[in-house]
Amino acid sequence: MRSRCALLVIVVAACGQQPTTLNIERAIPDYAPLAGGATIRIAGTGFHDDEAGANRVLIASREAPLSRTIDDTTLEVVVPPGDEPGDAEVVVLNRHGNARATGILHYSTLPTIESVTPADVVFTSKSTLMTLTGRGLLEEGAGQVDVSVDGQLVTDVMVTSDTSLTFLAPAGMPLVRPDIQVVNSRGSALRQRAFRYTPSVRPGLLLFTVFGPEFAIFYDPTDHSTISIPRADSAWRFNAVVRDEVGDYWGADPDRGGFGPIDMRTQQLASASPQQPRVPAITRIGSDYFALNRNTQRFGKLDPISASFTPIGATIPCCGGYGLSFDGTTLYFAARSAWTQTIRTIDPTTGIQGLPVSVVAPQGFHIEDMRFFQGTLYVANRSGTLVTLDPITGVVTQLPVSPGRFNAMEVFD
Amino acid sequence: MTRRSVLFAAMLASACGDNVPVEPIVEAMSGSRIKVEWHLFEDGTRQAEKAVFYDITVHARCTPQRWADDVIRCVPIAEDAVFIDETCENLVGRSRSIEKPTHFIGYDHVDGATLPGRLYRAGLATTPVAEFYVERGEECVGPFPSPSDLTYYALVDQIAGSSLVEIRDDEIGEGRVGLQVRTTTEGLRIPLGLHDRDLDTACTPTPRSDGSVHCAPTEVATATLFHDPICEAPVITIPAAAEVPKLAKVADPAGCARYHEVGSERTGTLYRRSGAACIRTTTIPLGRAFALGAETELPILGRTLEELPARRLQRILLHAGELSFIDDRLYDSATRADCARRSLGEVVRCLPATVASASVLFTRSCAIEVLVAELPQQTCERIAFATSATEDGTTIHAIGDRPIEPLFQLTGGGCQPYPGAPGTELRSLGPPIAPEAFSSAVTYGER
Repeated sequence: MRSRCALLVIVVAACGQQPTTLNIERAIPDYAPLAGGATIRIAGTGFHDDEAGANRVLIASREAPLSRTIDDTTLEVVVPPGDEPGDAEVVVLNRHGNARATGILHYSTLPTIESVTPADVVFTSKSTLMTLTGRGLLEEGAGQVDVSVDGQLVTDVMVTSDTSLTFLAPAGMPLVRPDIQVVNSRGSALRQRAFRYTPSVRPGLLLFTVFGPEFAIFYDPTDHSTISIPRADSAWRFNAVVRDEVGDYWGADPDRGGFGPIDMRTQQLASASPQQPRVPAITRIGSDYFALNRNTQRFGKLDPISASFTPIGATIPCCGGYGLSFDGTTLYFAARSAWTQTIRTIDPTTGIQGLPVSVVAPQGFHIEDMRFFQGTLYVANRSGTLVTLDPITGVVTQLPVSPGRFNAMEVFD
Repeated sequence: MTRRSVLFAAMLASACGDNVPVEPIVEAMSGSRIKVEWHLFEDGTRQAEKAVFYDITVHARCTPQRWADDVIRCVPIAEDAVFIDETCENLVGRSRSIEKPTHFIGYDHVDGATLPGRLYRAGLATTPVAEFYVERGEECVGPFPSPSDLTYYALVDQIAGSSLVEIRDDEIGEGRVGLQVRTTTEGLRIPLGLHDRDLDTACTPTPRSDGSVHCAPTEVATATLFHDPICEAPVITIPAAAEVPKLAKVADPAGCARYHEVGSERTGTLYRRSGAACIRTTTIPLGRAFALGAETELPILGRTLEELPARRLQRILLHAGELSFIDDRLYDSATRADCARRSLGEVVRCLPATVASASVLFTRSCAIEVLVAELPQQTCERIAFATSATEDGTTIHAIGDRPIEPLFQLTGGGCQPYPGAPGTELRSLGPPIAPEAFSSAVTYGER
């Protein structure tokens, strides 16, 4: 017993002579949001005993706004904001000196949105279950997740994993490609044009009106049904519409802004073009836009950025009933002259026109616009009916639908 | 003892036996009957409560109040006693909020003022009354309807008001800054505040950006407008009928307040800063505008920390001439900033003395709320925390960097980009910090 006591005295004496070591072991949790403000604990030694004094904590070179000493082995720290995700060096300073550690704490990456499915949602539907795939949705203190679709807060978000969540898409405006924003404790993520509100689950034709009360209608050739696309508070009227390579619609309204991409939320041009040519018919072949110019009565190329028109070939017949459409191999244009509506081919490179084919239709037949859809040429005409037209024979077939007078037509799929 | 006689407190027992001279510090001290109530923090730091004491003779917490004899006395915290008969002979005590009342107070009308004049001990709960009477001079006035949801108590004994301890307010110190103290003849002493004798105004210790502390006037007008079109000549504006203040303050480029005498009255167009611009503003129709006079030098206070290593909170010792006293603020070594005692929920805590107010803005389309603080681009003191009022009470948040994305506000015109106030910048806020991160205090006292 005497020898044990002696040993204890020696040990105590030895401990008393050694300086207290400040040491950092780990951070709990080992992550923090990049924006800072979260509270973590730092485990280690030398934080309190032997007159350690106040502990100052630096995380990724920024001082923590609050570092509270719980005991000699635990600090509670409010994390300062970080500059970038990833490992953050932790430094503790007190009267015992300083200690530093890496690999024990990292700033979490911001949430991301990598994909949203399905890509299309019928605009009237409120029951379409969307799946959002990304990162940072659940783990590392992501907390509550708010999801908004074009600024509309979604209320039925179900986070299924750190990389996936589901929600019910709210109803929207047809043809709009809404933005989705995800906000959680790790930050926020935005995916622009996350999906598309469609007028129908099937492909068809969009008919745009200058005179009617609605903005457009969707025509379904399968069953000849139509779906109205209501007009927003917009005075814009598009007399020609063409779809670009990613499926967005561009329109021409020379009285208001020329030619450019249509913002389907406002049904106005997203930006006015520098030039405002009068182009009653536009179509696209690959990345090239072709148009008929009413003022110059020329066929030519239309630059989508500047809306400048470059004529190709000779003049086209005066003065209306214009249409322009490409069937995948041949470009056709229609014109009305001397009370006769004709259709003919035109070489997009040289502008050389084929022989005119008279349209076999009642007197006064006047084409407003035309589009090939699944191999058939559909024509909107001034009488307010919709017909098909055989560009080889000129034969017109009346369709069992009378949507009214529409000035522009484009494919939707 | 003269009014300015210096009262010395207990010496700080920190000299550890060496011959270092110890500065006398004026501290709160209980009397033989009136006891100081203390706020004791987790680490052992304590602060005296200035407004409430404990009378060990009456056995009640008491506050300084003017008694019917025109003397300030330590009057027990109690609810009112009312007459229940038309001859004003029988009394009951009415309890609204005190769960176990020990005393009730009868109020007398003295020269048009209603003052406490009779003190009673509470008996057992008694039958509720529907109406009551009051004495107005020699008259017994009533009946007045009395709420039925109160608890009524019998009164068993009357305590003479003259037996309640008289409280005096004194001022000590010989220099420019006097220390106001509340005293009793039986020995209570509580430092109350500071008085700038040169400016004849109450003043409060205010840290400056260089770390020094001056005693800044507590009642001062703030100049926010200008009477020149280049916004270099500040003015204060006051309602037409208001008394003209003696002092005004204006923020310097560093965001610190500078103090001036109030100068001559100005009429005509006034201007205000809008970002870098100086724009006309409409003159306050019924108001008056005054230019700023000469800058006033404020008294500088010495400031040291007690520096007890084992404690998170450090008392701040202030020095003015021969006076040394304890600041109302504490220094929180966890935040490396001063803190002040405030209630957070049900608990008293030492919260950062300088905090910003959080406000709510929105992400694009105003769908999702974002909590931010709007800080002046230049601040005299570092502001690290912001408070937010929620349905569940007040929350505290660390202030972060500028928000990454533009923020929006809801206005009459819908969801609009938030332009920010001139001279300010938005900062994002972290999640609520657990209240336990800030030191809590319990109240105790000698009995």
